[in-house]
Amino acid sequence: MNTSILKRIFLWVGIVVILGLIVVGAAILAIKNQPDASSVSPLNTPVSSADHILGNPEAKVTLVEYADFECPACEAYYPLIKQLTTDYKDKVRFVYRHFPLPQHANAIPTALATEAASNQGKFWEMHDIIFDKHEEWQDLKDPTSVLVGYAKQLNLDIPRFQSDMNSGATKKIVDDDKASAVAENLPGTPSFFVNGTYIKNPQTYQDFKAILDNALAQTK
Amino acid sequence: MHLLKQNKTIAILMMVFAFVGFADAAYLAVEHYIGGTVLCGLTGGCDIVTTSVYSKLFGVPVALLGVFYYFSVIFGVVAYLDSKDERFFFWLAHYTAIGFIASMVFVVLQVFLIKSICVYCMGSALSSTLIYYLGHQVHKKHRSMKKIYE
Repeated sequence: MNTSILKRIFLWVGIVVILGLIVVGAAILAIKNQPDASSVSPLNTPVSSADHILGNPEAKVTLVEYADFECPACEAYYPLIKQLTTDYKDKVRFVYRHFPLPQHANAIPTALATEAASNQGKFWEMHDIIFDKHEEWQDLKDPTSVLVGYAKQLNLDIPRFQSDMNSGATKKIVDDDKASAVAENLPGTPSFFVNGTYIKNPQTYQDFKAILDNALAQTK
Repeated sequence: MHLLKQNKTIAILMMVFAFVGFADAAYLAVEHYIGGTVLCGLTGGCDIVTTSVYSKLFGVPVALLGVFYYFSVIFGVVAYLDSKDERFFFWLAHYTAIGFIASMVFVVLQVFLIKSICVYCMGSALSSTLIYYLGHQVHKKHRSMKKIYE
């Protein structure tokens, strides 16, 4: 074979090999950047009556979620968790805790709104409406009037809701949740614990279901 | 046919920057498909940009479009080095404007609309700007040579 043909083959094959190596390298890097379960501590703040609980409060399996209402990934997980709370309402205790991230400007006001609604017994209703209508408030400089609108839809006592949203006690609840997330060394949101053990975020409903089924089987 | 020596250097530099851009865009594209919405990291920035409404164009992730763009530049440069066709390289130099304009639009979106900066996206913008700059040099040289022969 003449040298010029060999050179051409070498050029094209070389480029294809380099491109292939880059793609493989990118995939390895992306996989390595997934949260490392080993760096997260077990749940250090036990579930108590102060927590927001859904499902069976006496269940032997507890799923704790740390989330931020403005986080796109939390929004993506919301329907999946909602489905689980329906399908496992008798077998699992679901707990929601706040972990507002610094880059999400409206994460704290929305967390405060759920706590203010909680004082009137409507935490989960406010939680649902905030996730369902995230497009209405996520880009606002001040989401307060929209959040007050949700409180009206839920027939809450508005002066009390507004006062609770601004109270130090409400802020402390959100701050305490965030402090527990930081102490657990959570890599971000949403983060989940099953019976006190951190789990890598399941990719699908079926993956999540398998984890809960496995935890339920271990309690038998 | 012989390659113009200066054009060969430009072509190789263009390919180097296109490889950097390809690696950058490939990483973002893989991240999008294997775990784009899995977690909002504590440092922010990248997850806000890559999960924003501007991260897709007609349902296709912008990062994947970047992969195709850099791949086409690499393919074009290799085809030029292989064929030694100067006219083809001149057209490739024009083509680099597409990547440059797209990158500038995305930088404006990050700064003014998304209000978050993704370092990988900025890295890609830098690669496409350097590629365009090199393409512009080819264009300038082509025009000055044309004047000499006219």
